[in-house]
Amino acid sequence: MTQLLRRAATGPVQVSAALAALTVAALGAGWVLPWLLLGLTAGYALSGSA
Amino acid sequence: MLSSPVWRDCSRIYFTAGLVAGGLAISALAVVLGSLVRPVMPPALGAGLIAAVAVFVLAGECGLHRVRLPHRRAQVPSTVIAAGGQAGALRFGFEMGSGVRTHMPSNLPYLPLMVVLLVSTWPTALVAGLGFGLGRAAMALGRHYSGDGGWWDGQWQRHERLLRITLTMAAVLLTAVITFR
Repeated sequence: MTQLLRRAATGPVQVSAALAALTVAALGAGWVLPWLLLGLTAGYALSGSA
Repeated sequence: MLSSPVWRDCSRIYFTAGLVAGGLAISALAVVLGSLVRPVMPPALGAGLIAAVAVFVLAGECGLHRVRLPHRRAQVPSTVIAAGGQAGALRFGFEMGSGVRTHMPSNLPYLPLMVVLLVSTWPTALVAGLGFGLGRAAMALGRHYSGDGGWWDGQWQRHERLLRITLTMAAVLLTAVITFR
């Protein structure tokens, strides 16, 4: 169960989906969230370099 | 990298701090360089350049071309890690977080770089840099805390194309919001 929860919170598919959902939520937000998410998505996209 | 001494115990904290510091440093450099360009560049030209980079990056991630923008074609040198426990972890994180001296399997970081260069202010640039460092850390921390690095790698490799396109589309959408709002 713990392992399932860990995977649900940390898996690349789940994290990418969360970033995509946050992006949609950020469309009507102030300036901080869009800029933060722009950096986050670009940083996370380099996952393959690990 | 993730099985190296950098990724053990408290070195993890220094590595993560280095990632964030690297992201902040490269965004600070970009906003300073951008301050030389922004005053003389018409806003429409800046927006056009950003749009062109966005299309180029998205096309690449969708497999329409294989052009890679300039980047180092190797990982951060192992001599950096050999520099020592916490200092080595901090420096290794900094170099990965700045993206200057590490392999980049995607052109996507060039998109926020262009946005920071052409339309940012100091606060927005630093927030983007913070996000970049945290994004890199999220990958490393996620893999570590998944408890099964092999599973994490398998997930990434199995869905890599879809994940890259999803993240790129999100970045393009955010770029449009930031640039044209």
